[in-house]
Amino acid sequence: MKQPLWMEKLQQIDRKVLYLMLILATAIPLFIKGLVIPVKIEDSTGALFVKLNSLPEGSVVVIQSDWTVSSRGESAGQLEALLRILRSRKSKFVLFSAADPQAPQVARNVIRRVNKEFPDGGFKPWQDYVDLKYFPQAESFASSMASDLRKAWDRTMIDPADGRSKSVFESPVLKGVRRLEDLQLYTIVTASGTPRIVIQRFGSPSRVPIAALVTGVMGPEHMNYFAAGQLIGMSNGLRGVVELETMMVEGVNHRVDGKASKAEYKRFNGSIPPLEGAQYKRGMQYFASLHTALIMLIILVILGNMGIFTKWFRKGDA
Amino acid sequence: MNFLPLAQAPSLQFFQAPGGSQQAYIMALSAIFVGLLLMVAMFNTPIKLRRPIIILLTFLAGGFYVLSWLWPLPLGLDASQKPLNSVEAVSLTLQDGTTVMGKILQVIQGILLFLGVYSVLRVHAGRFLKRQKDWAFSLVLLCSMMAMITVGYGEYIDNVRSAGVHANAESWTFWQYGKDFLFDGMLQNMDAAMFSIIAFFILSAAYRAFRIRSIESTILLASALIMILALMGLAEYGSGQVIERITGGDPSHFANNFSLTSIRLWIRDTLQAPSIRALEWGIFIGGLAMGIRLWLSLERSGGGS
Repeated sequence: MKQPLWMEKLQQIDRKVLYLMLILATAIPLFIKGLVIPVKIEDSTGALFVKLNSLPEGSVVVIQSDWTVSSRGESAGQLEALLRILRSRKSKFVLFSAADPQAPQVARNVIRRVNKEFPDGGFKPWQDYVDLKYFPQAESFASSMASDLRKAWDRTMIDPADGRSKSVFESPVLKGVRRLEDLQLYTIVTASGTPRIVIQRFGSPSRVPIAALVTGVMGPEHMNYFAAGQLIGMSNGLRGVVELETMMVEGVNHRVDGKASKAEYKRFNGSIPPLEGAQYKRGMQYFASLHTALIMLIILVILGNMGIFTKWFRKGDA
Repeated sequence: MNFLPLAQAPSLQFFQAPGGSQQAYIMALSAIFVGLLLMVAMFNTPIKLRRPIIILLTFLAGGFYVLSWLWPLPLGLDASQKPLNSVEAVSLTLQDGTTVMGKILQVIQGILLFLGVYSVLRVHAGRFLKRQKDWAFSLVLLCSMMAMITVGYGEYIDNVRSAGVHANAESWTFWQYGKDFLFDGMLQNMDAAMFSIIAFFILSAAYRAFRIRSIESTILLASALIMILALMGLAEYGSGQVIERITGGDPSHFANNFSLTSIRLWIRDTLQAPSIRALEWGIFIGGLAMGIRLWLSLERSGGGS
């Protein structure tokens, strides 16, 4: 039996109309300010946040930034959230990339942007972080780090105090660092499989806790490493960014006037208060767009299958 | 053989020079000269000898990593400590060599990049000079490439010479503005725009091609729908609230198994994660076999026959 005309039309929407609908669906939520969407805290993100919040003052954290703007929607938010938490812990960090020559500059731009949020100018190069730039060949570089960190990182950087180029190991960041064990945390913000390379080369159990902040596409693959305990925490895609931002703003298991906490991480016994001055940022801003885009996707798939649905119903009638 | 002196050898300082110093430039030029000499020597090697040389180098390079993987590594021992016997000494020597091998590989990667740039230049310059089809695109590519290389190196040299004075935007010169315009202003935005186009294709393809014509595709669609819904914090939160009303907040209530979170986690942890693990297992077994074939030059691409 022939389908009604309206049903046929719904199954043959012109792709230009679809594209326009997607533009509107993703763009309009970006203009709605102050939107807060509730989200449940995943174990992996909760574990990452708790670990970051247990870092002692002055601790040295590695940020291997292996993403470029193609995954800005997810990775930029993750790096921003990570930097804000590190700032609140007064931690220092080492920045480099082992995946893409463009990545260090992309990360520097994020640092510059986040620094503007802090009245004291945020992270200062040499004092608060060292930029080791790009290391080609991620596999051999990870092996080199595992065998001799000082040789693997033997780079120079300009000390702003006297304008001289010095070994990064003379900086306040890496002064006391000789081996992997001297680092408090090794984080990888990535849109690719670099955490696997690091986990494999550092061995198991690793001499330094490793955490990954990956894109949604890479999440399921890396979940295995979290389940095995090889990653101590993991933030997965845009949702991971929103979870981190929620925990920063609401705290973890933090109850005010006996009310239930908005960010509950049930595996954590304690509670963490909200970070001072924390606000919802890029993650929450994009989260609404993700919602509308996904709702649109679901509706369109249902519309595309209307013909099959009606056939099923008619069979049932007969 | 006494490996002790090797293990205790001081770290090499010969290859270290401050960036932008005269020593660094002399060393870089010397390295290029030696590299060119080696290339010329390789070009002049009889063809019959070339393959055995490549096979030998491949075997030695791979052998180093195989040995450093298999050789017993004393727990907690690092290069600053003294080895007690020859086994420990070899282990330390291998550890020490890993960074050197890593740097050699980084240099090779740099050479590969140079070869890639050279190849692009050769192909597109040829197309432009001979006015072949689409030569105008080649011209655009060459101009863009030259602009980025010039501005990139200009900015690097300026930064080294000014000892980081131009780190703040207030003190930028032509080079910093140029790099900001080309890299941050153009390249990054074009890159992001190109990838965002994928969303449009996915949406259009899902609408046209995702049809539930069989049981398999229905299962796939249902599980995809659950995972998509679970990605949306609002849907997950809403389903949690409904279940909580049914269960009255009792965590041991049977209905808890039907919350969106529980179903999503079951799909992820029980179906998805083991499948990925199994896939990776197969891929890595294949990779191991391929690695052995390449190491022993049994593959045609690895110099084998």
